[in-house]
Amino acid sequence: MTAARLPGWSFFRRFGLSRLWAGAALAGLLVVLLAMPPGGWFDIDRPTMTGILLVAIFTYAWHPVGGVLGDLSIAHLVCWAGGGYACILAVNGGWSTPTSLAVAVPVGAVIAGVVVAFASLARLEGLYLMGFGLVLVFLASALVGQWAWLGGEQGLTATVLPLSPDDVYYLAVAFLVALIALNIVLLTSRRGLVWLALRDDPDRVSSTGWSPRTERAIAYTLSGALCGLGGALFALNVGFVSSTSALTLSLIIVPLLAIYVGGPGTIWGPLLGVALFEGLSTIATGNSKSADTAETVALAQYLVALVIVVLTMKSKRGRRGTRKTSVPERAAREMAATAAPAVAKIATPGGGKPDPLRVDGAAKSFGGLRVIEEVSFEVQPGEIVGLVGPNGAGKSTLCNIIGGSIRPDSGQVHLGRTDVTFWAEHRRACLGLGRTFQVPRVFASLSLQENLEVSHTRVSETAAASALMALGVNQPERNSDTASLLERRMVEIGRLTTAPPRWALLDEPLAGLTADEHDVILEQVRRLAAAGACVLVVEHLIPAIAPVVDRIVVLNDGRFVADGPPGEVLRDPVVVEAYLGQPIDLAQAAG
Amino acid sequence: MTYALVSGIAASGFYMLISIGFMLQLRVADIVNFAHGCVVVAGMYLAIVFVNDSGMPYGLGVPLVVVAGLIPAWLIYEFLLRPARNQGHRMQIVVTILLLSILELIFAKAFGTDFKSIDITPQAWEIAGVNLRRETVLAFFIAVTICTTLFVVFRYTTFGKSVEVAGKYPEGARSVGLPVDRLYRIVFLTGTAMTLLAGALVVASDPATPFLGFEFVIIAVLITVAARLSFTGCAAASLLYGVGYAVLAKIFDSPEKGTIGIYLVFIVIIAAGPAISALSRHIPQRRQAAVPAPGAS
Amino acid sequence: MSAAEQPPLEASEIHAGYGSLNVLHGTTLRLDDKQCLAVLGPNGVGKTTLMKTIAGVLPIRAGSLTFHGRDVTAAPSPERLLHIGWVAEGRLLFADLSVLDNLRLSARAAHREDEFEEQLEACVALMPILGQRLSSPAGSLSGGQQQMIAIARALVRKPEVLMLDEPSIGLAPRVLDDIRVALAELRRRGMAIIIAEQNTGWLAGLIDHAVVMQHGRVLLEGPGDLLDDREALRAVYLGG
Repeated sequence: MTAARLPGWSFFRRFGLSRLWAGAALAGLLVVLLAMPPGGWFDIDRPTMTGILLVAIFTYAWHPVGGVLGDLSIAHLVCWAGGGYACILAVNGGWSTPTSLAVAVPVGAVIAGVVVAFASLARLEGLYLMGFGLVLVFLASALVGQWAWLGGEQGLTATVLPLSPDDVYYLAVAFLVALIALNIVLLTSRRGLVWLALRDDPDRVSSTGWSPRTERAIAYTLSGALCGLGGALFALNVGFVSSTSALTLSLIIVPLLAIYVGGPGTIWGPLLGVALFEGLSTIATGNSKSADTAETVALAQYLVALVIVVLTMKSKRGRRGTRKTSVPERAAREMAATAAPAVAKIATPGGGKPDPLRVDGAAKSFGGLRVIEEVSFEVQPGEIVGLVGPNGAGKSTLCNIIGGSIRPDSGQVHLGRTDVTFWAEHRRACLGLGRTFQVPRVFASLSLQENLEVSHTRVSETAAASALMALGVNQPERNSDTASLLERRMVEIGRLTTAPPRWALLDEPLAGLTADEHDVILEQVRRLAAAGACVLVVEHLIPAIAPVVDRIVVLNDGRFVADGPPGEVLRDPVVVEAYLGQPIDLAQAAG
Repeated sequence: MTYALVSGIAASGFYMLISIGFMLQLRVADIVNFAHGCVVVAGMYLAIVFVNDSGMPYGLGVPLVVVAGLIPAWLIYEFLLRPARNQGHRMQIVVTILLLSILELIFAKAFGTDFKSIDITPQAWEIAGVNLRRETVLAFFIAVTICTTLFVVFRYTTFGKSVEVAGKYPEGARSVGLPVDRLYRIVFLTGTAMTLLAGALVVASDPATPFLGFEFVIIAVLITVAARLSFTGCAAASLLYGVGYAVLAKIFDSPEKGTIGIYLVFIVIIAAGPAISALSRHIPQRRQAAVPAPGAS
Repeated sequence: MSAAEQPPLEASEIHAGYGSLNVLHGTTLRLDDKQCLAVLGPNGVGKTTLMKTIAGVLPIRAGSLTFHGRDVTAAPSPERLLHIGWVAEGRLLFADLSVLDNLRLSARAAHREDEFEEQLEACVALMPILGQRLSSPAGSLSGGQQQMIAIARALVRKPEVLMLDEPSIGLAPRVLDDIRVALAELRRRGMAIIIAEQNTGWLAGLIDHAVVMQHGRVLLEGPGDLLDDREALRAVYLGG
């Protein structure tokens, strides 16, 4: 694990913490919390501490969705409340305490499952998702007030308090420690990296072979289950649950702020955030009973939080800004989502020989304008084919059809024997399609080498690091927002080396690089082909790729106009015309 | 029923006024501003200060509230919101929620947490046999006027189209020399002005407390999202929010069922929105010609 | 030299780029009065970057830019675009607005709204196809028609310089003929034009002066017949 999993404040990033150290820190926290005497420290007694712990619990339970995945899902408050209600109902029904707590887990999970299913179906994101969550909370509030079996407006009171305040405290400590441990495991695992990448660039992730929908579903359901359990403990703490106690929005706003001020997607960030928001004000109000002081302290804490957030904002180039500053806009506009490398290593020649990439009669129109006209071609294993053509010829569209972000109007795409014409991007990636983008799309939240680890095959840290160093990228453990354009390109290429694809699609890999830098990339292209992959390189800089390709196919106006070895094609008058245009008869023009 | 309907319609005017500003900022400048509700509260408090403490007549105080409130709003825009524009909605939400919390506390410190009312004699106007407060009715008519005016301006005037284009096609707008950043600023200030006005008007019937800001912005978010960022949608959603509850309560013969019903309607509307745009994404002719294609003239 | 005698556009040693990527490494060119200048070169060489820098959308990192001798290096983009009609790459039309609105908005942005009617007439006279589709949404027209609209949108601003970025992208030869005819007429009337193009063929006969860029700098320069030297150009574009 790299340095990135600490709080987002940049000076913390420099200290690397491995899983071992994080675990040790967690153990330390556990000891400290357990050692707290019943009377507490600094006027924070156990019940108050329990309250703070519960906030931290909600924060860490929600973190996988709210912080790692980056979805501000307010709906999880309903999971929290649902867990609380389920627990009190169970207690009142005479069930044992452990069972009552346990029943909250599936309740929370199911609620979250329904929410994510609905959200995926209706394609809700961002503010729409938040709006949906808000209405859901209000609806739940109203429904709960209606139903007598849920206690109506008054809520449900536990007929018997099965746990003493001390019991609750210890349970809360245990649960919080477990949650932090879970977050540690998540953030140091590949899945955690994928979720962070989903926060940055979901379309790019699908081209590494991971399905955004599936991952979202997993994250939501997991978080829902944990929130449910947290809510149960929350209810048991006071022996009472109602819509006003468990369904108030402020319950989820504090975790939201805590996560984003402390550092979303980090291990200790949420805890620091909770410490800032809850701890400070509790200490202050503990010492002085004046409401005025409480207000001042609260104000100070929010101002500090705002300053922190603004500083982190200014230090990043901005998520969108990073993409825009990479390469000329023309390239950015022609680009759409594509797949990145992933899938099984190509077996050594002899066993399981990869099959050709074949496009048959692909045609595509956009709103009545025909972009690609019945294009067919094949790339054999071990062959490097250059796809060239002037602007507007249809190269990007063809790339996207092969990559999977666009479906052709007619025709098929075959990867080997499999017809993938209607397959989603991530499935193609899993099968063996690897792609690089014109504008390098690098996950800003991850380090350079972690970017390579987001892949469907197992790519170890050392493999990723050495692949990047071989490509000339120093300090691959550093964060990607410090990378130059060249380094970003190398990350894209690096994916193809650590997860060698059977079919490789490189979209203008040389754009923006100097001649020496070309050589490094072209060497990798040769290696890909030598390993048996079918390699298709789209380029504008024909002189640069001519030495490395076996064949060049020229696309013009959506049709192939030439197909053959470089020497032949580049002197073909039809090709020259495609680029330089037809020499106009001056006499004709003047008339 | 008539009472519920009429007072619901009148109330929807207020909802319209507070949502329009939020919606404008989102639609044109692509900024989500959760501190929007605090602008309403600021308007309320400023009105109280001008009328109660400075003894100004209400009619003078209201426009003065708008003018006075714009200055701090402008500063906040320049130093906080504009830099946040490039950070995406998530960060904007975080920053503006923090701002919301800060403003709430500032209001609490300055004005206390008790309900504060404005010192004006209530005046009632009778509409369809129902007695409504003068300011509520005014708010409704102002809101409808503003909604309609904006609709007309955006659709039929050159200036409105420039603003629309600055929001939808910023690159293209820049290529014809439209001062895109200046237009965003104008939109922000206009939206803020409307919101301050809303606050100054609503305080006549509802007392102010510092914590109303959150409540107001939630309403604005719901209406904006349900309206799918259109002016007519805003008016419709506001009416729905104001009146729909009363109507449904009557139909189901229970206020609670009415509440549940209206939330269900909102969920359907909210969910239907993105689903419909997702479908319409497959119809490319409305998109800016981004994919170069062989011309078939 | 008085202001009127200074070249409408002169760029000296311009450096510009995107973020950490530097694209222009000291580009120098001059557009003379009533001249039609072609900026040639393959993709990625910096033609669009140059245009964006001139337009003011990209900051000038080093070097200077003058319009008629007046230093505009620090001038903001809307101010620069008062003098330049920029037909950006990809046209960037307002797709769901009508053709008329597209034109009117541009005229208004250049403070030429009062002369709009007569400018519009002139544009329609030059490119008749416009007249028939004024109220159609701009996005519903064909590529060639859209290109004409984009040019008209620049012309209604009464610019001193017309700047076109790869106008031939995705257009069929027949359509290019129509566009060339329009540009030739504008040139005849004395408009200073600068065209960035990859496809040089359709420009023949139109160009007074040409520069060929490579790696962010001007590599070759010469009178219009440089376009006819296909071997030299072929070498730059295709190599070998």
